[in-house]
Amino acid sequence: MIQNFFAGLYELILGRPMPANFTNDYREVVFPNTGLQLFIISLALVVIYYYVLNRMMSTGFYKTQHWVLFLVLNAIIAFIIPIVQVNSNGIESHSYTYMFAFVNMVYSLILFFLFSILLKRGSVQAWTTPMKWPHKR
Amino acid sequence: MAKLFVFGIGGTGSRVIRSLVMLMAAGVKIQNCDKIVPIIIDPDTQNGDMNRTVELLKTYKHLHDGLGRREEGFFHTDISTLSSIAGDGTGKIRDSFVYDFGGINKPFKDHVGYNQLDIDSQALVDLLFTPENLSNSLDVGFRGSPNVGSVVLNEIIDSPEMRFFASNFQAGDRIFFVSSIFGGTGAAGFPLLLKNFKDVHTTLPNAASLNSALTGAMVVLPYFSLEQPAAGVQADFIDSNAFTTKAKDALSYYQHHLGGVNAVYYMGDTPDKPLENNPGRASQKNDAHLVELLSALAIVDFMDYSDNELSGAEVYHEFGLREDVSHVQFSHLDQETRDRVAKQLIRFHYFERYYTAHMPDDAQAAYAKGVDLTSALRNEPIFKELNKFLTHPDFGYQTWLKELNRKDRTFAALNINETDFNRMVADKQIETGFLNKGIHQGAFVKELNRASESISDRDAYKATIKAFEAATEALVDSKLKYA
Repeated sequence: MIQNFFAGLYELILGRPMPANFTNDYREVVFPNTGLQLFIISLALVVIYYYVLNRMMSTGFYKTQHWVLFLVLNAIIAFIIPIVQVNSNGIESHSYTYMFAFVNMVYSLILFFLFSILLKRGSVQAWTTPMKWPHKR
Repeated sequence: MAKLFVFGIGGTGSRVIRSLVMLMAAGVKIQNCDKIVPIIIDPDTQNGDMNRTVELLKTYKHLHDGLGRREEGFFHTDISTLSSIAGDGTGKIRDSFVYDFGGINKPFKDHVGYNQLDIDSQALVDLLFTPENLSNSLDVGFRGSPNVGSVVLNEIIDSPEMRFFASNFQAGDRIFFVSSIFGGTGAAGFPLLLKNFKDVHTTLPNAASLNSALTGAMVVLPYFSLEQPAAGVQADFIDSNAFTTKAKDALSYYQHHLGGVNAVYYMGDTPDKPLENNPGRASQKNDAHLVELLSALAIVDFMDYSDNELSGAEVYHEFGLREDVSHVQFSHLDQETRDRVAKQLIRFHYFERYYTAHMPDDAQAAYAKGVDLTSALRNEPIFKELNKFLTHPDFGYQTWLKELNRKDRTFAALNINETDFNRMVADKQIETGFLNKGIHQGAFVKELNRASESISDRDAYKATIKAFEAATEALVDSKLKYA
């Protein structure tokens, strides 16, 4: 189920994993692992940004530039994860690997933004970061 | 709906009301009334002191009205012009904080019809008034001559304004007079108005309510002197050497002939360096003085007493500092006074400092972004009024505080040029260290954001003021720990 979901998600853009002899490794191990890690790490960073730094601690990192910093950090992590996954599973490096890393990074941007929108209202100091929408007050 | 009518008579009256407005802006509570109706009585329509007080009152009123009715907080005390207290638009008098003298601009001589008098009456007038008294034009006030004031001001009792005041006076309302004893308008106006209000045979409406109204008075004794013109120079001036003599005479008169006041407050000081001698008009714009601020506290004190407490025998109050110091800090005030004003003034000062110096950098902070403060600051007129109140070079809070610091005896409780919040209060500084930075911009934003969480107003002005009230309270309690 999870395997199918993540395989579908990545293959939607990237097409069938290459080189062809590693297709199953990608579908059964790399895609689900990468997808789950992407999901968990993005959520964790959003929670750290909104609830730890800007609720529990009130560190002053409430500006959009700080949010962007976390977004970029998440994107960097999201770029590294697929490469690490591919290498640690003994899969031969291929241009597909980097395309995969790139797509994962794009997904991380979307996911980080979505989590931010969903969770930001719970933050005292940063509920208007990166923007006030969709909340009125 | 009890009201307090504050009659500010003459230049000193205006200046004390100016300080009262600052106290009200800071949120100092005035008990036992819902509304204050300041009425400034000064025939000198160009008087600089009066005009800037009027501007301040108007600005305050806008700021109060923008926030609506509240029990506490900055600008919470309601003020009203005399004409708007009727509430039904029936007032046929000018909508102003100032009594309208209708432009008396002739010399006193013509005002009393000196030339039409018979020779005996002229001789009597000559006995009572100096040639200068007779020839001076009345539109600059009475130039420190109560004998002129008592004649001219007598006419205001029959004016539409006074009748309007009396007919709208209700049982439970109170009256407070603020005047100097050593000048012209104040020294003449206070006893005159009092006598008329307390006269059982008065022709004013609502006589019974007026007669029995609880009445207080702040009598300001000499506290400044004026420069004397150089020998041989024929200048138009007020002789401040006569202040003490005039005060003594007036006090003696009050002692024997003045009844009907429930509480009288006295305040004075040794004069320091003489002020520029301007007998009236726009040039009579004296710096704010500590005595005026402390005099304004008399009104707060008077209103603290319940009706029952005031109903007994007349009481007399004098103000004293704990120590005779030239730089007066909060710790030099009596504990009761300090409790009433210190925290409020500190909070307001923090608010003003942060609002003017740091708030423009907070466009991204949640408290500001949540109510689109940046565009509101640009577009909403109420913020222009707030800026005026805080920073206007003529009547704003900053100017007032600076003026209070220019004299020999200064109000030095708040360090006006200090930009570090930790050192702004003279008698209590915040110890800072590696881990504790005290009050700084970050700490302020944090408190403002936290405060704005519980504010439901979407209106930027209301939300901002309320956020500052809560934030400054939290900072004063948790960081400054002022008690």
